[in-house]
Amino acid sequence: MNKKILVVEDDRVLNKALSIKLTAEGYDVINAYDGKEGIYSAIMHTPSLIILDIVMPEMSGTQMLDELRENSWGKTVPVILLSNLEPSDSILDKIVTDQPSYYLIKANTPLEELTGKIHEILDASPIN
Amino acid sequence: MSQPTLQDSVKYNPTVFFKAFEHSTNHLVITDVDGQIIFANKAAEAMTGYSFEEMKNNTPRLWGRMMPRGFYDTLWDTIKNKQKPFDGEIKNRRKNGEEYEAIVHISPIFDDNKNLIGYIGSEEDITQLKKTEKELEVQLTNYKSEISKVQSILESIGDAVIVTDEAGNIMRVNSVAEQMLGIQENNVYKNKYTTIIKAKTLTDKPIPDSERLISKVIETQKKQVQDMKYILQDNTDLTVSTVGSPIMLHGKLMGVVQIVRDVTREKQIDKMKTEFISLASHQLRTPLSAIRWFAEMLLNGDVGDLNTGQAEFTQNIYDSTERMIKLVNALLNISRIESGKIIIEPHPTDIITLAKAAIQELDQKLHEKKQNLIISFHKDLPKISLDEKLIYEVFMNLLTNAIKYSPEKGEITLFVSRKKDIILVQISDTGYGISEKDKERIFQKFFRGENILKFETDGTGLGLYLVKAIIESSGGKIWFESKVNKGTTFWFELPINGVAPNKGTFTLSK
Repeated sequence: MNKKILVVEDDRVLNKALSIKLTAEGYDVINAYDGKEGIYSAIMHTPSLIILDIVMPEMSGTQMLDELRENSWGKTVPVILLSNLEPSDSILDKIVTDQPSYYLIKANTPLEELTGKIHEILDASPIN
Repeated sequence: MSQPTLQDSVKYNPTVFFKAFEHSTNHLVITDVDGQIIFANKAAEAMTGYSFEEMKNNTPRLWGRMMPRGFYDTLWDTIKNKQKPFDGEIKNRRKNGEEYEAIVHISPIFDDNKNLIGYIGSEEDITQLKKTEKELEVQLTNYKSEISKVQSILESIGDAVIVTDEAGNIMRVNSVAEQMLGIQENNVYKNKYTTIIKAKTLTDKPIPDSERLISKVIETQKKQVQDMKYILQDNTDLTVSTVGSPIMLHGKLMGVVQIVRDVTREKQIDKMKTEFISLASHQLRTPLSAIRWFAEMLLNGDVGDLNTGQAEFTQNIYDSTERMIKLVNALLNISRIESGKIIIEPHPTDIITLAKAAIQELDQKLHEKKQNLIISFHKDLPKISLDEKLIYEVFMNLLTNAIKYSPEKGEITLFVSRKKDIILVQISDTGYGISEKDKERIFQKFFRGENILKFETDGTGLGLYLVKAIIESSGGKIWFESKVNKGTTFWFELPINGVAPNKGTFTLSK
């Protein structure tokens, strides 16, 4: 069975690009378009990894990450924060404390690099 | 027989009185009840210029009559009717016509039966004294007008001005200071400034009195600058930028002048700028990410193979997007550097390892242009405390420029050496060079040399600007020499004892 990846990204074009690429890489992709939908989908589908945007309506990516880490399952799921925001001190702090989390800037990250990172994380991950 | 004493002489010989009168250095004149001169001494002769012979059948009007009539009426009323001594300031005229001012004392003389028999008058020439007094008055007026000038300058300055003595006690505050700090000059006069206005750092940590600007000025006797938050007497905060200068007189500290500017609004604008940077980065990068990713997938054959033309065009789209992303990143870096928001995190770093990493990264480009790189590194440089990411950026920028702006088979040199307490880096090329008229603008934002635009259109004009900003915020210096079509050499220096940290908000974006 394919590994599941949840993509939480409000920009539909970006969400689509990520979905196509990840599907082509052999993952099952679940899409969510804001943090609320994201947390719901995460708990419903328990994906192997979550790609999470930060600036989103309803619930931001950082808020969603906070809620996710409260959940017994969500505590350990790897999360790649994929945003175009420069990581500020508070976000960087979060990455350190809310492990396992990673931070990548969309515009500076070719999809190849992103999928490379995903393989690396999932290969090392003890779950699944 | 012993000599008679002066006391005996006075008792038995009245001529002693006469001698004393005659030789007194004070102007003395004795008149009868009508003012007719009976005796005048040598000092009176000298002062008025008239001989006793000339005075003898005259009254002192001989050298008088310079005062208004009322003056003489009062004089005569006092000495004749009231039979009291008279004192006054008088203006007279010497025989040669010269006027003089004098203090005059006239006392009535009585006989044993208390009958008025005459007057004795003395004059003290105060012309010189008066002249000095007038000069002093002029000086005083000048001084007062200087003070009022200083006062008006003090009042017309838009910033708060606080003047203290050499112990930090408030001597003077202008009205802007009164308003800004909510104090009254009268109420705070001679109070310690650090007691009246408490301060904390911009991050709300209390500043002890010994660390306050005014204490530092007093201690160092040098100008000091400090940004902080004031805690006003009503417990509200005020973000201020302060400059303190010592008032020195003959090498001695007399006091301190502080100029305080309310920068609350500037800080707000700064915050808005940061927010704008963050917003712009997000908004501009989002569509760019989409273009980049879709182009990448097309090139990767994710939706089927492209023909040669399609692949070439898509590669063009991809490359242009990447350039645009780099430009946005460069702009973000510039804004952050300019707003002082850049994080400088110095760690002990081997600068040579850093230089080698940059060379490694650029190896392919050197290869492509068949350029030769000559390196020379100082053998035992200590690790110096600097921000790896920033200095790496400097190496990358300068080396990339050297490669980019030199023709094929050019020669590039990189030297890292040490001069006493500085690390000196030299990067030279045998490239197109910088023309004379471009030299002064080479570090300006968005500037690109006219000659190189012919060879290389790709470039943001931000590289050297960023490099200079990084070097300068790291306490270093950068300069260059260049000749068109001969080549360019850049040098930069960094202090060997390291770079001061800056707790900013952002790191650099690659």
